[in-house]
Amino acid sequence: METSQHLRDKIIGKVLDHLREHGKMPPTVYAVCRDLQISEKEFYQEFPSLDAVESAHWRNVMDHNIRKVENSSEWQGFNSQQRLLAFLYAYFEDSLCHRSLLLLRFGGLNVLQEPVSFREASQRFLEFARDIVKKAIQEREIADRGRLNDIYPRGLLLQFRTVLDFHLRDTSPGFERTDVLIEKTTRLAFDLMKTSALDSAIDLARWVMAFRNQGAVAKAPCGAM
Amino acid sequence: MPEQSSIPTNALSRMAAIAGAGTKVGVNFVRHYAQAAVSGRLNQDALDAANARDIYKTLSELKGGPLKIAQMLSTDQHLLPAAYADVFSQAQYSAPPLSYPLVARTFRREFGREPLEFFDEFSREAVAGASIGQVHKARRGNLCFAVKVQYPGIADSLRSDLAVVKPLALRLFGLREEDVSDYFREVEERLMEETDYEHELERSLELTGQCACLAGVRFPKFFREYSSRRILTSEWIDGVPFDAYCDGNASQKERDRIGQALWDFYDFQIHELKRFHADPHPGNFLVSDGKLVPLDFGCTKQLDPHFHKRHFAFLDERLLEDDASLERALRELRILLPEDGSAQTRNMLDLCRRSIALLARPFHEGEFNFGDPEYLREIRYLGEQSEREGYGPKMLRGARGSAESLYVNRAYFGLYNLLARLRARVMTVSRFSVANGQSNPVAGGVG
Ligand SMILES: Nc1ncnc2c1ncn2[C@@H]1O[C@H](COP(=O)(O)OP(=O)(O)O)[C@@H](O)[C@H]1O
Ligand SMILES: [Mg+2]
Repeated sequence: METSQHLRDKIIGKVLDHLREHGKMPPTVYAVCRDLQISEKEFYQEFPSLDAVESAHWRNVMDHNIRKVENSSEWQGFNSQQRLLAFLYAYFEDSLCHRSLLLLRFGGLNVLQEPVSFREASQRFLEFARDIVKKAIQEREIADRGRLNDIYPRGLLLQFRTVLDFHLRDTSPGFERTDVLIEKTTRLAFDLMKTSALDSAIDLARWVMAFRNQGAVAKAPCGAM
Repeated sequence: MPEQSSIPTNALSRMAAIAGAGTKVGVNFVRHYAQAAVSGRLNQDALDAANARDIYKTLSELKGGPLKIAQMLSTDQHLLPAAYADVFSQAQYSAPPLSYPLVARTFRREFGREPLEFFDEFSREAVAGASIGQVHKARRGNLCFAVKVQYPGIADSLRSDLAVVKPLALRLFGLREEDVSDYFREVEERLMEETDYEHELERSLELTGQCACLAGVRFPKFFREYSSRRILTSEWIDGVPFDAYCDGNASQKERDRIGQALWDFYDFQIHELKRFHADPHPGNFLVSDGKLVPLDFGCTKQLDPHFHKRHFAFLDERLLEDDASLERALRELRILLPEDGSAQTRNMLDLCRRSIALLARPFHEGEFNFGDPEYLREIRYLGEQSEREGYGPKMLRGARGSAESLYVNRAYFGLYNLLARLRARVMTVSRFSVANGQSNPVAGGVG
C-alpha cells in the first residue's frame, strides 16, 4: 500500500508533466488514473479535482522554498528584512527550474488578478509573511499599528506578486533586473512599514473617500491628489 | 553608509531624473540673471555651485554609469570650474549598500556557492563602498580578503545611462557632439570595461606583475578562483586611506617618499609599459608600512606608441621657444586644424604654449614641490581665464586633438592632485625611455 504522500506526489507529477508537454490540463481524472494505474477512488481521496492538483503544486513550491531558507545556517542571524530578501532570492532562483510552467500559467496576468490555482500558495506565503511581520514588530524593525498590522502581510503578498509579474517579463541577462527589483521593493516595503507613511496614506485616502461619499467638494480634494 | 530610499529604476525614470536636473540648471540660470539684474553683477561662482549641487544630486541618485562619469569629470579639474569639481568629487562616497542576501545570491549566481562555502568568515555588511558595487571583508585560514561585489544590472543599464547623460554633458560644457564624439566613445569604452570584473582581474594581475620591480609600492594579490564577471577578490591590505594619510601627521620625509613612489609608479607605467592605471583617485590608494598601495585596476589605458611619442614631445622645453616647431607639433596632433584662420592659430598657439609651460613645469624643474598651493591654483586659473578670454568651447570648435590624450591627461591631473594633497616634493626626471630623452605630461590641453 502506497503512503498518501507518495501517491499525492505521483499524481502531481503526472498532471504537471501533461501540462508542461501539452500546454493544457489532462482532459479527465479518468485519463490521469489510467496512466498511473490507480483507481479514481484513490485519486479523489487525495484531491477533489484536477485544479486542486495544480494548486497543491504551487503551494509545494512555496513551502519548499520557505523551508529551505528557514533551515539555512544563516537564518537565525538574519533580521526580518534579510529573511524576506533571502526567501525572495531563493524563490526566484528556484523558479528557473519551472519557468516554462510559470509562464504558461501566470504569464501576462495582471498583478491584481489572483489565479485560482495560486490561492493556496498565497495562503502559505501569508503565513510566512505573518511570521516575518511579527518578528519585525517585536524587534522594532517596523512600527506597531495594533489592528492595522494585518495589512502588512497582504502588502508583502502584493510585493511578491509584483516581483513575480515582473520576473515573467524580465529579459535581462541572468534575470539581474529581478534581483534589483527585489532589493528595491523590499527596501521600500520596510521603509513604508517603519514610518507612519502608510498610516498617513490611509488617513488621506479615508478623508478623500469621505468627501467623495458625501458628494461635497468632491472635485477639490481628489484633484489635489 | 546611509541607505538611499529610492533609486530610479527604469530608463524612463532615469531620463525623468536627468531631465529634472536639466530643468533645475535652467532655473538656476534664471535665478542667476535675476540676481545679476538686481545686484548689477554676475556671480558665476554661486551659479556654478548651485548647478553642481543639482547635477550631483541627480547623478548620485542614479548610481552606476552617471556616477562613474561624475567621478571621471571630477578628476579632470581642467575641464571643470572649481565648484563642479568640488561637488563631483563627493560622488565616490554615495553608495547605497546591497543587502547581504543579495550578495549571497550573487555568489550563487556566479559560482553556484554561498560566501561561507568559500570563506570561514564573511562580513554581513560592506566595509567600503565602491563606485558600482561594494567591498566585503572575508577570511579563510589566516588570509584576509577584500571581496568587491558589483551591483546587479549595472552593466546592463550603463549604455542607456550614457546615452542619457551625453546631451546633458554636451549642454553643460557647451560642446558640439561631432567635435567630441571620439572622446565620448573613449569614455564609453573605458566605462564598459570597468563593469567587467573579469577584465579588471586580468589587468590587475598583469600590471601588478609588471610593476613588482618598483620599490616603495606594494600590491595586493588577486585571486582568480574567487573572481568572476561580478565579483573581484583581492588580498585584504590593512592600511591608511590615502586621504587620511594626507590629513594625518606624517613627516615631510615620509610624504616625500610616498609621493616619489606615486610618481615612479606612473612614470614606469606610462613611459615603459605604455599601459597604465588611469584612475588616480584618493579612494584607490592606501598607505601601509611606509609603502604606497594601489588598489583598483578597473580603469586602465593602453597607449599607442606613435601617439605616446608625439604627445610627450611637448615636454621638450625648446618647443615652447620656437613657434614654428610648436605649430608643427600641434598640427601633427590635430590640435591645430587646417581650417583655422591666422588669428585663431595665433590664439591657439598662445593658449597651448601657456598651458604646456604650466603643466610641464614639474618636469622642467627636475625636482618639484607639489605642496605649493599656488601651482594647482594656477592650473585652475588658466582654465577659467582662458574661458573668460574667449578660448572656451567656441574657439575650440572642430574635432581636435586625440581621444587618446583623455586618459593620459586625466592620469596626470589626478597624479598632480594626489601629490598636492600629500604636499610632497618629488624628483620628476623620468627614469624611463621617453622621446627626446625626456618625458612629458599633459600636452595639448584640449580634451
Ligand atoms: N585589497 C583591499 N584591501 C583593503 N581595502 C580595499 C581593498 N580593495 C578595496 N578596498 C576598499 O574598497 C574601496 C573600493 O574599492 P575599489 O576597488 O577602488 O572599487 P571601485 O573599482 O569601484 O573604485 C577602496 O577605496 C578601499 O577602501
Ligand atoms: Mg576605486
